Amino acid sequence: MLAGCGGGGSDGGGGAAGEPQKGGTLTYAVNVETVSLDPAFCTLSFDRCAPIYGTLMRYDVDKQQFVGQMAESFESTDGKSWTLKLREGVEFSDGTPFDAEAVVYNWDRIKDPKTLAPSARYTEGLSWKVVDPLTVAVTSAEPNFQLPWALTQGLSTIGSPKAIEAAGEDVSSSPVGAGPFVLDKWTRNSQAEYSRNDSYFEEGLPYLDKLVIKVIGADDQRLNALRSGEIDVDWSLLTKDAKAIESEGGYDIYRVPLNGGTGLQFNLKDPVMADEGLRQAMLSAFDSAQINNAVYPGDEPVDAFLRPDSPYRDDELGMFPEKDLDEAQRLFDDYLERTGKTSETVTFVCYAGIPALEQVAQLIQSQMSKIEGLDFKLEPVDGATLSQRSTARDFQTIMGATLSQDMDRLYAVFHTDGPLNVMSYSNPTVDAALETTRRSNEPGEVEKAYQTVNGELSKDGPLRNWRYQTGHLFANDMVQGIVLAGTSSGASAYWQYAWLNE
Amino acid sequence: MNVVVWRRRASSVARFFLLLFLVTVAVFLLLDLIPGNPVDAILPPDATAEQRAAAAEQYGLNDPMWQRYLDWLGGILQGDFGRSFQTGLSVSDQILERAPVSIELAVLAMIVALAVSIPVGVWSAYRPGSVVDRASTFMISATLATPAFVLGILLVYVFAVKLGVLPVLGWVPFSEDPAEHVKRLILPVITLAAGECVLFTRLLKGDMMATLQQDHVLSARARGLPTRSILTRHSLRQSSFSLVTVSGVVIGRLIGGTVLVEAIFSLPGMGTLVITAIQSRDYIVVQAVVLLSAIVYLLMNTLVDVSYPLLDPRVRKVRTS
Repeated sequence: MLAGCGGGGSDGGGGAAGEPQKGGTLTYAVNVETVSLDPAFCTLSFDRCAPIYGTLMRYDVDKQQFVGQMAESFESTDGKSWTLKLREGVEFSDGTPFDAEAVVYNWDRIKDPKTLAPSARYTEGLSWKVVDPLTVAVTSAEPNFQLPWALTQGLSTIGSPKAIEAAGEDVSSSPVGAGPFVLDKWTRNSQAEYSRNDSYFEEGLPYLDKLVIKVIGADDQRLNALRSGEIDVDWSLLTKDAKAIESEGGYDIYRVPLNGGTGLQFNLKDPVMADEGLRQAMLSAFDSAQINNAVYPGDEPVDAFLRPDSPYRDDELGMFPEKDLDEAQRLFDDYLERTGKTSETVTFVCYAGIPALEQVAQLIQSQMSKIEGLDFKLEPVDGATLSQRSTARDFQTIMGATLSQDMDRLYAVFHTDGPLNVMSYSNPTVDAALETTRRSNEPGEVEKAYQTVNGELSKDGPLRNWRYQTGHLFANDMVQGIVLAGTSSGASAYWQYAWLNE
Repeated sequence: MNVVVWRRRASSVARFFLLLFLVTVAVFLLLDLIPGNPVDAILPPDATAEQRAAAAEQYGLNDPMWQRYLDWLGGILQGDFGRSFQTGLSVSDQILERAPVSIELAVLAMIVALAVSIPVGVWSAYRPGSVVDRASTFMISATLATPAFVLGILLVYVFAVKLGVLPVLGWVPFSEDPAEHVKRLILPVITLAAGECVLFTRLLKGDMMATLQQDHVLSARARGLPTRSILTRHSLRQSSFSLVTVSGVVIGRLIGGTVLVEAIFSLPGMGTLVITAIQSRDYIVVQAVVLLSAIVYLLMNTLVDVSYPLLDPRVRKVRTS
């Protein structure tokens, strides 16, 4: 058994001081609006959905283990047959029971192609059935001990079936869950207001009377709002802002280290980029220290795919090639000789309109231009186009990222059959190791497998990241009891445990 | 009015509708011809083949282009802009919810810009080199050198963070708290009005200076008419052509273009709606907003055209002769 059960109770999180106090309004600011509060779409909007629906499980950042939340436990002995145990007496805020039928209704809906649910991929290879009102039996076609990750986000949010049916086409803005808060009002692109769900199952929780989540796109404006006291907690990915706000005093900084990072991705299906010698030449010209010094001061240089303090890193198994322009030129000349070419042009699809990322693209271009004979052209496009080009594998090199607290995401991004493998990367050693991470329930074996994955990814460099990213929450020191959650966009919190020391 | 006038008006109306038709075609084609499959905008990268087929079916993407255009246009004629690809919400409802915010912002910014620039422009033209003229020239240079987003952040830093007299951002409906509603509009309106103030003041000052040199004004001065009368009755109306023309275009631009200010101050208007829609390739929302902006432009231009004769009898005479 890997996914432990647990009370899901308040463990206080980081920085709790004194006895928790009840009451008050906490205002939290994030950078982007979500499109939908439909429980089938919540994988894209943890911040907005978790207060309403809760999550079936959560991953405890400090203890590094899964903890039951809306569900009591999710267990398996063979990785194929899983038992989801729900809590007794839990109700949705509309008074209907939070039971096995409700879970199955929500998961069936996610699986239905007509719902167009973003988390549908989590249902592939899975089947489920109601055993009794508090038990769902889940069967995975292949052994997968990483399955609990799906219950922390992708399949984690369960809405009231009655409310979903009643909302019809307006389900995206009519959320009814059994989580710690209920949505009072949602002004899109401005703020969502929540109040305490008095029937929430964790006794005495949440502490807060109200939770307000604001959307403030600009990093500077969120910091201004924090400094002026208009918000209590600020979301951020910027290390330099964390350092700045920490030095001002009066704030607590919470950090969630994320796996992977943003970087230069190669399309291995492209006839030019398929050449390993050419890729290695470019990797040898790459200088992440220069990028971080110029654009992300305070961030450390990247020398392997996973961060230095990751337990899944063994530097003996592989690191990114060190910057060596002579070696880069030698490899490139060798490429020209093998192909009979006199020069080569490579296009880099990058972001337009995001100043920091534009600067990074220009720096990479200047690094690549040090290779004589290589013409590295920038193709700046808007974010949506970049995403579309990435999905369609319509690029030679592109700016891309994988960010998650969830290690199993590496399977989706780097396994040959991974649904997010836009690089068409295929390495039998990586495939085998990633399969081991799912098949094995032996922590040592899993750790070794991820170390292999990190080593191979660092040697091959299909995604050459320049930053190790960290999700941050900057909280006014009046805010206590923050229990962190890692999301695909950074850090968030389980707000039922937060309280205000006013 | 004679037959010629009626013909001209009928022709204007016909031109208006022809342009409107062309705008609908252009807006539809513009987004339809953007490279890429709309399904990619609707679904995540790891969507299944079944989901892709279902999305194409649900949004009619398998239909021929002409049929999709007719369906879209037919819906619009009935006030139905369809449902958002991303949120599933009615586009008309979203626009109706957002438009009042942008209209209020734009109208208030316009009023502020005119209220500041007309007296400043008139006085600067009347007394070049005066304190008002030098101060306005300085402010114009400073504003021109400061992009709107910088000005917005600067205002927030000074008035909200340092002085703590105004809120940083956000929106409170008038019906909930009128005082808070106004407080939260002050900084966005100033940010939005600043650029237009510069434009209006410079336009009006230039036109006024020319008018003040004309014979009828010099003659009025010689007759000893009061300054107020010379500036307002004899000069301002005649100097307002450029201002009226530009104001018409500006109000259209403001309504459709409060994007930056809404983003800086987190205001739930059309600007943030269209930003979100563009970022997520929500074609149907972008089409609706672009079409409505184009209609506002066309209407404002027509209104400006109509208002010329009201401002200057000489234009009325020429047009009806």
